[in-house]
Amino acid sequence: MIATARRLAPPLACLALFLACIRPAPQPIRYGQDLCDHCHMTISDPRFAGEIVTRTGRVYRFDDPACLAAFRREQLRDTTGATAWVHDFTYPDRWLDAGTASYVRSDALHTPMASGLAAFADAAQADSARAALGGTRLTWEDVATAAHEPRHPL
Amino acid sequence: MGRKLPWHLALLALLVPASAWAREIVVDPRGPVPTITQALRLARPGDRILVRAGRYREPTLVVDRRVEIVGEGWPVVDAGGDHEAIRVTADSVVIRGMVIEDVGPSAVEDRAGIKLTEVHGCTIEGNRLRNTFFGIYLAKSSGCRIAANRIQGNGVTEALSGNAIHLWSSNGVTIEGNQLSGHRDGIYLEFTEHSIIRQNRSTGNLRYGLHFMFSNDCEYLENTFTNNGVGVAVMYSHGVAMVGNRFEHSWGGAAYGLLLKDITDSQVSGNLFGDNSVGLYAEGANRVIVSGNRFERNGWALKIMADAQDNRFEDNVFLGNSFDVATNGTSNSSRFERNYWDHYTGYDLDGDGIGDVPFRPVRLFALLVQQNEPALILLRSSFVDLLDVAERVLPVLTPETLVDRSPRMRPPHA
Repeated sequence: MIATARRLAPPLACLALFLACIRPAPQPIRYGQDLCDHCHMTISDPRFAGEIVTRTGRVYRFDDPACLAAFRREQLRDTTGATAWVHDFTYPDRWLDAGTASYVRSDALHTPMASGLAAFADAAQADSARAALGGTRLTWEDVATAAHEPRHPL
Repeated sequence: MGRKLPWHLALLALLVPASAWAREIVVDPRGPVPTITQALRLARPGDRILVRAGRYREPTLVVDRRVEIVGEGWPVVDAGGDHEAIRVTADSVVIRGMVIEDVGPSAVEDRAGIKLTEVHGCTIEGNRLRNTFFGIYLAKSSGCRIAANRIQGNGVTEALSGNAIHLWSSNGVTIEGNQLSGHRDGIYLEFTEHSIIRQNRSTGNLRYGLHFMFSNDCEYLENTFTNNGVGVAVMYSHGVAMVGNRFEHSWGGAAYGLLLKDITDSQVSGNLFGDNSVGLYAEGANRVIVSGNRFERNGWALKIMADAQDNRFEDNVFLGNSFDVATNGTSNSSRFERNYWDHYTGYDLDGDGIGDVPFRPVRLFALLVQQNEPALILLRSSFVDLLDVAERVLPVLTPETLVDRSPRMRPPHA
């Protein structure tokens, strides 16, 4: 009996750990079909796309980090347990946790809503992009709290 | 003295051609100038470069002086998939009759078939672009004319596809008589003002046939938009005139003939909206006049979100649409007058051509579907018809003010 319990303990522990780790995961975006839940534009460029997944699994999709931030600030009713995700500009098939990603805002980044914002996995990658494109490096707090007016070039 | 003057004049006349008259440089794969690059190096401002038929594989052609480049027999500039084909950095450049092929996609730069940067008064006319990432791209340019070009992309996925004609921060541009297909957007305007888009044909583009972002005081007239993801999207702009266009065959879950988003003080007149999932969708649209349009065979002719204010819908014709008007709330500040609705069943006892009872174009069922899309399966149910009639007699759930008090008995003359 004890032996059986001993044998089963590791897989059971793994299972418990696995269940504890499950949290809302980002869902794939159908480019050319899904609309941005904030600006209503068809999402077409993976480099700037993002998502919010609520505690209950409801998915909101965005075409620009500025739309994600504005929606989260203005329209998301219940932020508890909601997770925000952004695509890595350098590897647009990778999701990054919006809260820990590093951001660059640059006039050279022609984003769908003209915010000039892109996300990177870490500060080093953001810095190398900034060296190439110009602009400033931002944290999630900067992105989440500021209003992102379109960067009018005139 | 009297004889001396003509002699001087004759000498002058001999000198003039060599110094001031434009030269023509002929590029021919078998001639003394075999590459366009070489011709551009030889050219002086005002010269004409005649490019004979052939296939030219050259590095990016930088046109940095005022020249006219004219193709004869459709010469092909083959960009080989990895670089921009032509970059124009001088004013008043003319490019005609050229074929440009294979500008590959890039994740970091907006590569184009022809890119014009900070120039004025250029003409890009009668060219054919095939399989270019972006087709013709203008940045910070003004007074240019983009006409009669045929731009054909092979866009399969939007991510790897740019726009056929892309204007960024430009003004006073005329885009006329072009044929655009297979790109992300047929025509894209961002921060662009005082420009005219006329008689273009934008078909089979992945996202939008024409797309405005932050672009004020422009007009688009007599264009045809068919089979695009969405016909036209006009977003975050004001003072846009949309007249005499055809918005056709945009079918799908989020497909519209015309999408208005945050638009003010604009005009939508004399257009045809045919066979779209939604003919015209308006969200955050204020003080827009929608007049003299025809809405035929759309799923929804109009979807007007409750945040749209003070719009006027006058003298339009609604024929064969499953739903005439849908909205998402019970408030409405838009006015409907003198429209023709084929769903109208009223009468005209005084014979003035205007129905004596008002028409309520929002069916209760449309409201139910707006809130719960699967309910659409009940579209042909007679119970739904009964609900609609009851709601029309005594509006409870549909916006009470959304009513045409002067519906026409017959459509106005087209």
